[in-house]
Amino acid sequence: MINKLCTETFGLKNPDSLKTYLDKQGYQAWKNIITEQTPKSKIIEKIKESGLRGKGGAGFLTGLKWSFIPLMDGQKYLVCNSDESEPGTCKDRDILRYNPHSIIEGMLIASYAIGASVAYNYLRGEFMDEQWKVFNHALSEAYNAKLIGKNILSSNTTIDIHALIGAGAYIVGEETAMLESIEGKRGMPRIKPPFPAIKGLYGKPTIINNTETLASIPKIMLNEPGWYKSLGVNDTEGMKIFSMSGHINNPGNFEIALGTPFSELLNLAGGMWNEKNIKAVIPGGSSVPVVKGDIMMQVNMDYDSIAEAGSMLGSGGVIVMDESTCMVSVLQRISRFYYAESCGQCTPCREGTGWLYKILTNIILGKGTQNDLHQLERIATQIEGHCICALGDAAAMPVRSFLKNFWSEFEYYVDKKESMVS
Amino acid sequence: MKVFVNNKEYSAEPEDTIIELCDKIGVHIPRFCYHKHLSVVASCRMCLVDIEGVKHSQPACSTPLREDMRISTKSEKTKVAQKSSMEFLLINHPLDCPICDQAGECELQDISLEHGDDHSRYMQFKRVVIDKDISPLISTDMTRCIHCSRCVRFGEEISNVKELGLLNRGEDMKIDVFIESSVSSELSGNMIDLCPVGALNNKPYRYTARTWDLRQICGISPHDCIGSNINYHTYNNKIVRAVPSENPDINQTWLSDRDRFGYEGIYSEDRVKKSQMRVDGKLVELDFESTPSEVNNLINNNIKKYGKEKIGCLISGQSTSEELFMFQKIFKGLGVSNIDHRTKESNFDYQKNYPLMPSLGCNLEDLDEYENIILIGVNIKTEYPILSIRLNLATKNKTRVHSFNFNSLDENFDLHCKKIIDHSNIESFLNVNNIELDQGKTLIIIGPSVSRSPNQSNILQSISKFSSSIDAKIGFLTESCNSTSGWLLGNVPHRELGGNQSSIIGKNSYQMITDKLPSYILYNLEPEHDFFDKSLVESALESSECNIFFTSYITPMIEKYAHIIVPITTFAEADGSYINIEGTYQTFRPIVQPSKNIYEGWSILNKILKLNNLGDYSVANIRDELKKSLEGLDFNMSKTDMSNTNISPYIENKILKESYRETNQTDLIVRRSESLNQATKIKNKLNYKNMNNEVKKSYIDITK
Repeated sequence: MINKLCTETFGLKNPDSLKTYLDKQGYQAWKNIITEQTPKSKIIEKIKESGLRGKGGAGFLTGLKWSFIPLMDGQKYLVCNSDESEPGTCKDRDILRYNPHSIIEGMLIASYAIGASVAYNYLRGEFMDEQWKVFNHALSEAYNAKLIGKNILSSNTTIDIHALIGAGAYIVGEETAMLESIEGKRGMPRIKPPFPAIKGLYGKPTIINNTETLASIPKIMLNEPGWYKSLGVNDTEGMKIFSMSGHINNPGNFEIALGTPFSELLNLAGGMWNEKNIKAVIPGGSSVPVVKGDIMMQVNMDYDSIAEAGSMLGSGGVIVMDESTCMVSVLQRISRFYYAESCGQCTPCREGTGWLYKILTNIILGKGTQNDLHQLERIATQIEGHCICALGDAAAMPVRSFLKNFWSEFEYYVDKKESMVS
Repeated sequence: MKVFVNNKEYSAEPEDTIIELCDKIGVHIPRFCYHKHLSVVASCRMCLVDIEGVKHSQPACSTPLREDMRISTKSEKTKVAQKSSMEFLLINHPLDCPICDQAGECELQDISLEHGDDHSRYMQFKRVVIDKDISPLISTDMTRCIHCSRCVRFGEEISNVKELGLLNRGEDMKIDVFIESSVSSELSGNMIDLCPVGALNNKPYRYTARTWDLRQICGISPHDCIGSNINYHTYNNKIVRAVPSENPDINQTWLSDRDRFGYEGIYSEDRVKKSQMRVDGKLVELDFESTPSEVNNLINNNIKKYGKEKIGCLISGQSTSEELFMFQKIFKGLGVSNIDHRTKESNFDYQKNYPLMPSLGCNLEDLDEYENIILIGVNIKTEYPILSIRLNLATKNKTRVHSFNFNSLDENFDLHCKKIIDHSNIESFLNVNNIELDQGKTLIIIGPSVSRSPNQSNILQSISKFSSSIDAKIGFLTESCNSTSGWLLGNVPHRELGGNQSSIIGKNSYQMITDKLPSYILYNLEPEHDFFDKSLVESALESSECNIFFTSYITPMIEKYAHIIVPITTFAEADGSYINIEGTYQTFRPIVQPSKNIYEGWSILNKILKLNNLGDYSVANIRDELKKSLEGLDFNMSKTDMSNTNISPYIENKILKESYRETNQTDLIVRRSESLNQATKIKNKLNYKNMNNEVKKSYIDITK
């Protein structure tokens, strides 16, 4: 069942070393491209055909994104988004830690394909102690092996990769806010259009891809055109790492074929904790709508099936909650996160996230009214779709879905001033 | 390109955004963060509009127009979106309109009337921001801030002095100064206008009046030669504040602090309230009615007693064109040719070949068409703050600005090159090898520090030679707001009204002072500050037998040496007009009524003129004649050729004290503006703190 793509070196001895990676056919794809001088369009075409979708949350087709970059000469940039901050998600952390060379190779291939000579890997501030060091070490190994830098493998191709470290703001995971941060400005999202592919970093065409997306690329390039597509099961294409957390026996990252039923994924993660019943699942990081447990057990883990169940696959951070969970407290905690992380630039998010959190806190403190519940729903609707970036939506979606799925529990809390489950 | 707004078809420019189109066709879209002169951030979300075929409402300020776009500014979706943003903006706003100075002209108040609710659904605690004292000119109530960031963008993009910034994030975000500094730029007052709410407000105006009780009258700035348009707001016949009056050709929507707060000077304690005459060594008050004849008698007696060539007539270049016209009419009519308005100058060899009147040589809006602008002897930041906005935008476009000054003052725009030059050795410096010129048009702007130099003529000659060698245009920035009229209306010893050469060449201001004449007539001048050398003036006034002062203010020297003091109006109390440095003639009405014993400047002069049977004018007559003399004049200064003047050799004088002028000390009105003086004090303290030792030393040398 378990195929290995990004997690290939996980569990091996010295997983992050160049030697381990080379033993697993590492940098073979990159060497092929460089020696054959594969035309850029051919690479983009292959990625397009593979059906690879962005793994950061939005699930946009990677090949299509690359094809937006203007063909003319001039400075272009590639940015790898390793600012993995979505609560519940920890896949990039492990790729950076155990398989950094796959990211480097992916970045090299992507830079080559879009014609960028400089690429940045932006790591979240919390990665300072481990991933940052591991990645930089891997980078120096790759430089020493002449796989990167000036005149790569005597081919006249020059690509440089720099690792950058953030300062701990969630919003910088938003691609344009990340560009602002790289430029040394306040991390606040830009208005789109223009999109980064036209006017990105320092005003130049820029492609921003998620770490997992880029780490998947070497293997896709190495294999036959239909290979990646064929990995998926139940009529879907490709692979995805899911970060399982919550009330389960064996939390962690699991790279599985898209389309695998959720029940199987849950078994992989050791099943429910203390053999309790499943109550709810947030399938794609804290910002996506919550799904009731019994519904989730019938769902396959792929983009369309989860969308049918009323949620999103998002970044693949699966948070499982058992029957003992108080949904009011969970929602308050989630709202607090978005309240604290709003950048403050645009009005609905700056003011609305705080309002949501304050109302929920009031309810927790036993001061809530029935009207507050309608108020919550109304505020969430007022935020949604009215902001510059997706953070406003990310704050509003959980509120609306929690209320929709667990209204009676909220009503109970307001009436009895205590949780239904305690 | 055709688009539809509320189902009506309009043709639009493809590069416009929705809000630009709607502003043109008169469809109102509420906005807070959008301002036509600032960059677009689309952060207030107040201008969200419904576009057919787009799922969510889009901000009108940042959404470009598309062919056949169908925009609805009145649909339910638009209303819901705008109402949501309005509610969010109001939840943390204190709603303290009854005690807020902005009330009545507050954008938040206006827009919430249309889009807000009559009650608040927010039951939680509101955000409170602790205020700081950031400036003597701007009061802050940051709890009222709605984070539109206009003030921040103004600092980044227009004044190029980054004083305010955003701190923290989310709901805790606030506008603040960075690390305990203060807001001290020369353009800081514009942030008051930009602030759509009462967060940044006019400090001197604080709690003086309610906006709906104010009367608004448009005036022209008397403080610099740019001629910014100002709306003065009066309450009970008193000016309480000044705001910019939009003029896209001159000041756009901006105003310098000097223009905004300078009016305070007219309410100074030392205003002359009644005419006074010296009788037995003491000043005694005179009748309002008898003053004109007393003055006239004195003038005529002096002429008879000492002779025409022994009378010195000096007038300030800050006087209105009407006053300048009448002044020379009287004295040239009486045969006196010692008339001058250039009291700050000391070297006049240049005057014969000087152009008809000083001019910038181009329009303000065309400044960014020049590839090179060379500033000589001028500090734009402190002396012409409003011009620094144009130059800032020009440097961001393509212009290289070179600054060559006699002292080391900073500019607030990017200089390609900045050098301190020696005013006594400029010829060798002005050399193509010393100046990195870009291909293209060049403009040389000569500032007031040059005219204050004892080597003025030599410098002008060198510049003239240099400009013809590189085919550059020459422009001037003058000392006073109306020096242009001073030249054009014949308030110089060698020229008549309209610029014709005089048959008799009188004494220039420096000769009048050094020759110690027996009688002086000083109009609107402060002997302490308005002359090249204070001690020379003092000894001249002391030795003179009869000094006639037409003045708005009484100063120790006037009190000591005057034989008669005639109180006259300031710019704010009489009809007047100025010709700005572009050659634009601008008139204005009295903003407030003068108190009863003060004469309108032009009218007392007219009375004297009448007593001498030299004519009788009304304001309209004066302006007619003035316009006649302006007609057909060529303001193109590129033809200015001063290279053939006979001049005396350079005077060596290492430090040119006169080149340094304190920011808000440029004329007798701003010198008396308390708020500005306070601001200058703080600024100097701050500047001095940040100077390195070498600069500190030269600073002391200059200011000593």
